[in-house]
Amino acid sequence: MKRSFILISFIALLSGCQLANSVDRPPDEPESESVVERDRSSERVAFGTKAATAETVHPITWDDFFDGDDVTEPSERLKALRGETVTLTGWMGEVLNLGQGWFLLIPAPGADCPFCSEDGQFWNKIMIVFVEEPSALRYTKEQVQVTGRIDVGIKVDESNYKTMFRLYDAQFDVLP
Amino acid sequence: MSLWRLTWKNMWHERSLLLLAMSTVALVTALLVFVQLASDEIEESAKRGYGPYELVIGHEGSPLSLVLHTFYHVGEPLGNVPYEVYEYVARSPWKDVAYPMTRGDSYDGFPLIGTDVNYFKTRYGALAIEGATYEQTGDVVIGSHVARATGLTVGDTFYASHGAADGHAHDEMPFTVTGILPPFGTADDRALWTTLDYAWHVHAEESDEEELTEGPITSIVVVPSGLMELQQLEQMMNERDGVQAVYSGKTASELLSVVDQGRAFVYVVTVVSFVIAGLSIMLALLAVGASRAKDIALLRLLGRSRSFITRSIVLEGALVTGIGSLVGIVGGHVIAAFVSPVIYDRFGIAIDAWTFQPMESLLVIGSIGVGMLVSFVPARRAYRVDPLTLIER
Amino acid sequence: MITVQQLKKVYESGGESDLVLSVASLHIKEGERVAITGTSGSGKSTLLHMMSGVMEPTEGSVVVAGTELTSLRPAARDAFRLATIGYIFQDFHLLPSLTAEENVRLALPTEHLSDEQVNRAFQSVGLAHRRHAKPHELSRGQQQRVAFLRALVSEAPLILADEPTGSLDAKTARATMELLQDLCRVRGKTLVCVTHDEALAATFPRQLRMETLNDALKGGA
Repeated sequence: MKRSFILISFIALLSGCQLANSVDRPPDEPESESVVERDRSSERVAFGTKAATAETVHPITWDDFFDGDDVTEPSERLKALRGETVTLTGWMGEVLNLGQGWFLLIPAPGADCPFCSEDGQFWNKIMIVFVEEPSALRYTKEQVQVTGRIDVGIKVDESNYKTMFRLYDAQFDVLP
Repeated sequence: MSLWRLTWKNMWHERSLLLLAMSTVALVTALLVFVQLASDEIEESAKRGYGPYELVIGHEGSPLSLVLHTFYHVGEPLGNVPYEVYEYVARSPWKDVAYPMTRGDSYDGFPLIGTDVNYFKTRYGALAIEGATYEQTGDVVIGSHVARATGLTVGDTFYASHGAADGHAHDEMPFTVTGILPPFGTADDRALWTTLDYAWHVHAEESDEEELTEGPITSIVVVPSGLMELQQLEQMMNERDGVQAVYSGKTASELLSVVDQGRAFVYVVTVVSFVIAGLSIMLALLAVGASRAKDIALLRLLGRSRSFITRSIVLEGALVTGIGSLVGIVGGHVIAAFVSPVIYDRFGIAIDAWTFQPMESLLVIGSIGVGMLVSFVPARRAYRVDPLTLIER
Repeated sequence: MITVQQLKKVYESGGESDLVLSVASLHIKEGERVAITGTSGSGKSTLLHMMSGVMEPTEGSVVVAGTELTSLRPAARDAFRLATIGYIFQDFHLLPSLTAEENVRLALPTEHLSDEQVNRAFQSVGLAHRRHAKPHELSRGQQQRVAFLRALVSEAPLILADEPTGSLDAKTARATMELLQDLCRVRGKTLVCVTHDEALAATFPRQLRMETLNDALKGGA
C-alpha cells in the first residue's frame, strides 16, 4: 500500500512539473524538439520532449544558397532539396511576425542589413522561417538552428511578401 | 461503512480547520489561473495588435513607447516628426501604403487620433460602419468600446481636452460624431478617430497662428512593399536625426518577453505558495490526527486494517487539495470576470474570463498529488497507532 | 468455537520478564455464553484480547472458528477480526463525529443493511427513535446499547465483551447484561464476557475464574 501511495504521489507531482513546463516560457529559450545532431539518449522524458521523426535531415549552409555569383535564382542543390527536411544555423533578423508565426533567418548577427542597397531589390541569403509553434516564438539575439521543410523560388508566400527561400513547419533551437 | 463515507464524515467534523487549509489552496490556484488568463490575453493582443503595419516611424526615443501609443493607445507620445518625413516615406518605393497619425487630445480618457480614413480598410477590410466616416475637420468616428463607455451616438457633439482626461477643454473646437465603428477586437475600439489636421487646427485656433495644412506628425505606420524594402526603409529612417523607425513585430516580441518574465516570476511565487499551502494542509491533518488517535485505535480494534486507516487520511488530503483547487479555478475565472472591464478600460486588454484551459485540469491533478504527498506524514503516524493503547489500563 | 492450548503471555521490561498468563487448555463451544471473572491483574482481559487476535501470545495456540490465529499475518488477523468477532468495550468508544446508526455501520465493511433491518436492530435495544442521534446526545446506558448493536449487527459469530457494564450504575448494569445475553441467545452468537462483578457473572450459564485458569497465578506470584 505504501509503495502504491508513493507512486501515485510521484506521478501527480510529475504531472505538476509537466504543467509548469508547458506553461512557463522563458524569454529566450522556446520549447523545442531535439535536433538530429543531439544525442537522442539525452532527451528529457519528464519534460515532454517529443522524439524527432526518423526521416533524413539534410544539413545545409549559407554557401549553398546560390551558385557562384548568380543571385537571380536559387542554387541547383537547394532546388533539388525542395520538400525535404533541412537544417541550418543562423541568426534572427529583426523582422518577425508573432501572429503569423514567422521570422527572417540571416547568416550573421547585427541590426544592419549588410546586403541592402539603395537601388532596386536583389535577392539575398535570407530565409523566411515559418515556425511550427507560433505561440513559442520570441525574438532572440542568440544563434539559432532551424530544421524544417525547405521551399525555394520567387513567389509571394503566406506572409504576403515576396521571398526566395522558405522553411515550413520549422523547429528552432537557441544554441548556447 | 465505506472508506468514502467515513472520510467525508471525519472531514465534516473538522470542517473549520480543513476549510481554512482548503482556502489556502484555492487562493493560490485562483492567482495562477488569473495570471494565466491575463497573460494569454496580453499575448493575443500583442500578436494581432498592429495589423499589417510592420514598420512604425516616430520621434526618437523608446521603441516600446512608440509601438505602445501608436497601436495600443497606451501612454503618451513624447514628440513629433516633421511633415516632410511622411512625404519622404510616401514618395519612397519601399512602401506599399503608409499613413500618418496625429495624437494629442482625448475625450473621457480615450485618445483622439487623426489619420487617413483608409487606415481601417487596410487593416480590417471593408468597414460596416454605423453612420458615416469623417470627411471634414471636426468630424469624428468613434470605436465601439468608446460608444459603450461614454454613451456617445451619431450626431452628438463634444469638446476634446488636451493631454490628460481632466485637462482643460478647448472651447473653440467642437467635434461631431458622424459614425460608430464596428468592434475590431483590438485597441482601436478604444479610440476616437478624426481627420489628420485636427491637432493643427486646434493649435492654430488657440494661439492665433496661421493654420497649417502640413503639421507635425506623431507616427507613421507603414505596410512595406517587400521584406528587403522594409529593412531598407528602417535603415534610412533611423539614420535621420530625431527620428526612429521600429519593427512592430520585434517590439511586440520584446514586450511579450517582459510579460514572460513577469509571468515566470508569478509562477515562482505560486510554487512557493503551493508549498506553503501544502505544509498548512499537513499541519491541519496532523492536528486533526492527534485528536483522532482514539478513533483510529477503535477502528483498528474493530478489525479495520491499517491500510484502511491510511487510505482514509490520504483521501482526506487529496479531497482538501482537490476541492480547494477546483474552487480556486472557478474563483480565478470569477475574479477575471469582475476585473476585466476595468482592465480593458485602462489598458485595452480584454480578458476573456470564461475560457477554460487544458492546464487547469493538470493543476487539479497536481494539487491532488501534493495533497496526497503531504498526508504521508500524518498517515504514517496513524499507521503506527497500536490499538492496545486504548484498552491497556 | 474457541480452543486455547498452552497459551502464555510474557511481558519484557528492562531485562526482566513477567509471566502474566499461562493457560493450559480452554474450550468454548459454539453458542455458549461464558463469563470470565477474576481480580484485576489476573489476566482476564489479556486472555480476551488474545482470543480476538489483537494481542499476540508469546507461546501457544488460539483457534477461533476453525482458524489458528497465530498463523495469520497481522493484516489477515485484522480482516479475520472484522468478519468474525464483535467487540464490546468498557468505554464504548463510539466515534463522536458519527450518528448512532453510522457508528453501528462501522462494523459492516461490505454488508449492507436495509433501512428495515436497521430499524429492527435499534428497536431490539429500545433505541428506534434515537437512530440519528450523536453519541453526546445519548445517556451512558444508551451509548452502551449502541455499542452492543455495533458488535451484534453483523454476521460475526463471536462476541467478546470486556467489562461491558463497568462504567454503568448497578441497576443499569444488571438490565444491560440481561439485554446482552438475550441478544446473543436470540441470534445464536457465542458470547465471552469478562467482568469483575461476581453477581453479574452468576447470571451466565457458564463461569470461569481466572484464578483457576491461569497457571501463572499459582505457585505464589
